[in-house]
Amino acid sequence: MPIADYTPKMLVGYETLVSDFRESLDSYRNRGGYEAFDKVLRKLKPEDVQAEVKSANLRGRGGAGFPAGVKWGFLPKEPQPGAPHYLTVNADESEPGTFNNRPILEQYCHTLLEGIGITCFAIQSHHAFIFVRGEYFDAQKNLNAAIREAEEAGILGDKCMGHDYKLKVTVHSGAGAYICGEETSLLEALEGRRGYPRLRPPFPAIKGLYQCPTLINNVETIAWVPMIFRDGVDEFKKYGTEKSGGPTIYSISGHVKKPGNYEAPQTVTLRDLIYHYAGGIRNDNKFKMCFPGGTSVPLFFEDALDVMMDFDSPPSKGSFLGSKAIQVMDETVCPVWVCLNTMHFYRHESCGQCTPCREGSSWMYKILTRLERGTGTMEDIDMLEEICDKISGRSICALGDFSTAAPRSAIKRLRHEFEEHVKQGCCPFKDKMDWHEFK
Amino acid sequence: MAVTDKNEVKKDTVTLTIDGIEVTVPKGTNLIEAAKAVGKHVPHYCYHPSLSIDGNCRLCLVEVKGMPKLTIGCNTMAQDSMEVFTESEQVKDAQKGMMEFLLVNHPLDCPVCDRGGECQLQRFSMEYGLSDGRAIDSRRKFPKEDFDPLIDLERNRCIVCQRCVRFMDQLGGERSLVVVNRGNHDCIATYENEMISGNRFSGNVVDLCPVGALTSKPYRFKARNWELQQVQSTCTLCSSGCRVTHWVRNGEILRTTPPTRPKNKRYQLDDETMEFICNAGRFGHDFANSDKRLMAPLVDGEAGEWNAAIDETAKRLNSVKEQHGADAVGFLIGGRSSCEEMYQINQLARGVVKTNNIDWRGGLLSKEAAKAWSVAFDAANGQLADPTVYDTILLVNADIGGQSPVDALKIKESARFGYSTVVSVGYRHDPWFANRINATVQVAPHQTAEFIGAMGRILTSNGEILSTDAANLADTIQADHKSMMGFLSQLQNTERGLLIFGLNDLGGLNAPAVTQACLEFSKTMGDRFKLLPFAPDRNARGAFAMGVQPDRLPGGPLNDDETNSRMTEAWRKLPKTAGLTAPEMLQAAADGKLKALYVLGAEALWNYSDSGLLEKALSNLELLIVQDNFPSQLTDKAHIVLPGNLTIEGFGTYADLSGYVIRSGQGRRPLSRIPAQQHCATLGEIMLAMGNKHALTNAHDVFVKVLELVKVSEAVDPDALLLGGPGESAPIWPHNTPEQARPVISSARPFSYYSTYKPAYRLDNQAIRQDTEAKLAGSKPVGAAEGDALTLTWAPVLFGKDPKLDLSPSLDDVREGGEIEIAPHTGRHHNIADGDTIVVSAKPNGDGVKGVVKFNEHMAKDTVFFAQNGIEFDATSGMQTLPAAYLRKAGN
Ligand SMILES: Cc1cc2nc3c(=O)[nH]c(=O)nc-3n(C[C@H](O)[C@H](O)[C@H](O)COP(=O)(O)O)c2cc1C
Ligand code: SF4
Ligand code: SF4
Ligand code: SF4
Ligand code: FES
Repeated sequence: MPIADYTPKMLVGYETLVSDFRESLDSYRNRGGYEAFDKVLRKLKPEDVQAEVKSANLRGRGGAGFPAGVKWGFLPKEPQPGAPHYLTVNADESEPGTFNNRPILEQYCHTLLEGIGITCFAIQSHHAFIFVRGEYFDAQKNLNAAIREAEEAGILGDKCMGHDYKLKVTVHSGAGAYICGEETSLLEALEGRRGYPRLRPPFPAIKGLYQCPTLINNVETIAWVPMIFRDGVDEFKKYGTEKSGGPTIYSISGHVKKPGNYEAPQTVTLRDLIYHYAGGIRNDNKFKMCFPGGTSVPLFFEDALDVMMDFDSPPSKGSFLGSKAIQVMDETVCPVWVCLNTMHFYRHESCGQCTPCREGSSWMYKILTRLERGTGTMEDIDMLEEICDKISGRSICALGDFSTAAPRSAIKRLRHEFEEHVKQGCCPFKDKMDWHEFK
Repeated sequence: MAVTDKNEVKKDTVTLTIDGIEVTVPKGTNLIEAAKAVGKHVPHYCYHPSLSIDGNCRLCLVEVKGMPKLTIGCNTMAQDSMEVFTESEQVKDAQKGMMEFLLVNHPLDCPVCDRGGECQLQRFSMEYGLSDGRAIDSRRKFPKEDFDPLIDLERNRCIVCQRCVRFMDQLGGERSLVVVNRGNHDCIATYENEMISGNRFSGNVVDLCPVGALTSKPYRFKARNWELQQVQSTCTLCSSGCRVTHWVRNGEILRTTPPTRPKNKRYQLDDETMEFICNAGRFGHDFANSDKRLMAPLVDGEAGEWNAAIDETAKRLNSVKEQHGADAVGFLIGGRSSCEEMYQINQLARGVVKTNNIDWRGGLLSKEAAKAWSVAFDAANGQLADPTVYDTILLVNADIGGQSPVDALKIKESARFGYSTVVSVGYRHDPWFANRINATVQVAPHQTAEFIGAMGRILTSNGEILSTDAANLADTIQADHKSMMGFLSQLQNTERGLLIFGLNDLGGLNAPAVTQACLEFSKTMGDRFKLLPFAPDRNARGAFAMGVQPDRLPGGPLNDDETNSRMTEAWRKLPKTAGLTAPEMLQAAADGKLKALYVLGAEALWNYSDSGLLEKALSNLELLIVQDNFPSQLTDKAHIVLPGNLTIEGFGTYADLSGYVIRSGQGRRPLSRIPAQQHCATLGEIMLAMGNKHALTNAHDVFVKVLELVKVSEAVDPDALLLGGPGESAPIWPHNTPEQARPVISSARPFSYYSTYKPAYRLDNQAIRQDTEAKLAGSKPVGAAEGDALTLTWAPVLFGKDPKLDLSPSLDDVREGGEIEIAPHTGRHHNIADGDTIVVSAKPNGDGVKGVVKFNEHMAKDTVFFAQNGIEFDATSGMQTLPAAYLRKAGN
């Protein structure tokens, strides 16, 4: 579908308002809100709901794009005695450059709550948790207010919308750790412990929160569920690709003229996102590279501009859709500096549990600091690549792999710029970058 | 741990290949253990068979055919037709990478690190690492902190494997260690200024730490471990009877650890040991190095020659015997002596002096108590080597928690893994233990026997437990009806139960009634409950078997014809008159009837709680001979003092509570520079000097003699015992575990003390069991306190004062028992708060004992508890015989 014809389904306009503004229950109901939930409770059985979501090809928006319906099906068919099912909504949004959950959490609370209602019904859960990033104060405040509103209106509670189904939704604040976005360390944190990723197996769908079957989905994944039931599977699928249904929200930041969240069908290309939605590069500079999905995925370079931004196309150009957070960098940016900057993040956010990530990220940070200062050697560049090889695939959670994405892709494509640092004994970009710390 | 143990093949097994070698292992075996079974070593740091799987070090990565990535061997369970590769290029690359990462921030201060030589980081760097370092950047440094009085923490060396964290949480039962900070600034820490040695097992983290991050403070900078001589021995501090290795240099014990094992052709600390020891055993060895130790015999205070001292001893004993008769001589033995020493002194008493006045139960206040002990030990048929075989473990007045830590740990682990439901009944429970078992039932001392009796009646009254019965029983102790019903049903549904009952509290005053009740209970339950009497002495079962008490002989009761003729043959004519028990001997001495007392091991009288009578008894004696190694109040009063070998310096065998016997002292050289006279030899030489030509003077010979005379069971191999080190053999403990609450503990196994060796033999009671029925009929419980008075209770605790530990300054900061314990509601009732200083007196407003109050919620109402070896316990107040106590705040 041509992007010009697309009108947003989720971000209907409130998101441009201040963060403590929230769409009210009345307003949401006026545009058909909670009708889907009512319909589901009235007409459908849990397994029907799961089947619909499966056929809608809804894929997880949290990063990996795993088919939501399939994941729901991993939970036991019926809750066993003493082992209730839980839904945990991952609202820890901490991936650098990612802010596409934020409008849903702050303004479209009821959309999310309706999604939670339908999802919980589908997995026969009566208690959902929303684990919200600690810094999202307004989101937490707004969500709690919306839950209260929904409870008072009888939408949530002992008899949801007057039907024989009860549901409680609890908002839990994170404490400011990126790693708590990883689903199993999120569960640890929710249980009151230090946010350490768990070993798998067992998987959360079998033993998750409090050792009970637990479904974990990203905010946006859940927030698309009502549309599937309100507008129908076919309508939903229209805005996606064959393998991935529905529109999605992209966060665009960096050297663009109009950074922000843009909702688009998944058929959109990277070029459209940067030049159509975000208004092009600042000062009409040259596009050099971008992270297409947070800093945890490899960099994209110019040859990737026409790639379609769905879950399945970016790998053809060596990267992933990830968190759909596009951080654009123009020709002034030093790739070593970019790696250094991301490594600063990963070595700080590594939970420290496992050896390769804990030691590897801080070691790479030290090496990158040397390179960027101009005191590195040619061997350092090879060593960086080697360290990446020794981390990836060997850590407990994916954070270890994430930390290798930037250096690996940057060295692969822009090795000469790394070498230039060694040759010149300083950063060749330092005068172009006004924020450069090693001037 | 042999994964191919024959017990396990019966269960579900899986067959896989490891580096091309086929192996069959039980289901649920991880790849590290499966690889061990084919002799392949998968290097690892964080995995430990006694701890939950954490999977954080990533060193155990192996290749499994069909898996896209390498997988960790610790958390991957063996499956049928798996093909595992532990030495492929990919695996080696991962190991090299991991070793390099671990060294990036390591200070490499091996030359000053106590762990050097037994450090797993050194070992694996050599075996699996790179030879060159590439990390040229500055290393992360933590400031040094004073972490704990017993344990030193060097954070820069820590590899964050979290073994210590998991040990404290899972075995120690306290989350006292945590990881703080993130990324590579993470390090282990305690809460604010807390220390971890408040926990009695914390010292084990030193052995568990694969690197030199946690080391022993007392041992710090003392030695390089390869210079030390290892002496395999046993701890004698309590009835857990742990095996230990003492590490000795120039006659000084520098450290004590769980037993070492042969590895790469030499004995080494086992980084996967499942034998954990307590802090008293680990850090309490300084007494052996004490310069107060006596080396030469003292006659009337003068140090002299051995020959002269032995002749003098023989002469004086003979003279008392001639003047006042054989029965004017008494013999007291401490429960930490070896079986051989006990046998020798028994022969001296019965075979040479010809008196039956011999006893080892010096802590008891009454002869009824002594009798109860005999009946109790005769009935012993349970064991604690493997508590997991019992579905219910019921403790009655048994302070295993406070007096026998490692046995307590084993029981607690059995509860934690869901093998056993553990309930402790009594007036006071050790808080650490009580909080980690399934339940405690608070019953006042005078009600205990009655309570056990009532329990038995309800459970055997055919059919269902009536809720009215349960409610009535609950009311007698003001307990909750519903939990009483639960408790009774648990007992009723028990198929294999163990009933452990304590004998040594209140100077044994409660022992007759409680023993009687427990024996009856076991009988009415159709023997579904095995019996295990609890006394904290290291060699209590040994003493019973060696017959060092008036009513017994080695291997049987005094009045048993077979035993009698066997021992008459060995010792010639035996004395005919009945002997005195320990309390009777003291009374007789105080009355001037007993003229000579021979004490072997000063701890014999350490726990006697009527110091007034003791004082009188000792000062009335014509002859006091003390055979002990350290000066004490007892040696001060003695006419003759005969020092001798320490446990580690000589051969000796010791039985634990379950009757399992292990040996001590496999050191090649004596500890002291002047070789100490062996206690066994001293006793033999006295017998020779008194004219007995058959006396033995060598502990090995005595041991062989004992085996001829005493019935034992289960694998007696005296030759192996005499010659060899601790034998390696199949584990006795089961390796499968029930599904756990947290997934992370799903494959941890309960701590198993007997996992790697078999004891020498087991003292067998069944064979010599006599008719114990109705022997104690009519035993009266101790009286209840009247009026507003509280009931006074007391018992010794392991970490309290002790003749040996008092000479071990390392333990100064972790001693226990300095407080007066009461239940919180008793405190509230008397307007006393936790931490108040109070006076406890026998009469309202009378003089009494002053101390600080500690609330213990696991205590019966209206009782007061003293650790008798904790605070000054003024026995002359007569409080023991009149168990009433009055509390008031000090200063009022
Ligand atoms: C280090 C790390 C951080 C993550 N952070 C987030 C996050 O902030 N939000 C999120 O939704 N998913 C995050 N994820 C992904 C989650 O683990 C999980 O895959 C996701 O919540 C599943 O939801 P979905 O199926 O709806 O995509 C993170 C994963 C890793 C490894
Ligand atoms: S990969 Fe990093 S963040 Fe993930 S468990 Fe290991 S140390 Fe923690
Ligand atoms: S102190 Fe030792 S045992 Fe504890 S985490 Fe560090 S290396 Fe592991
Ligand atoms: S538990 Fe007892 S035997 Fe074991 S080390 Fe401690 S004091 Fe010694
Ligand atoms: S032993 Fe497997 S990860 Fe440490």
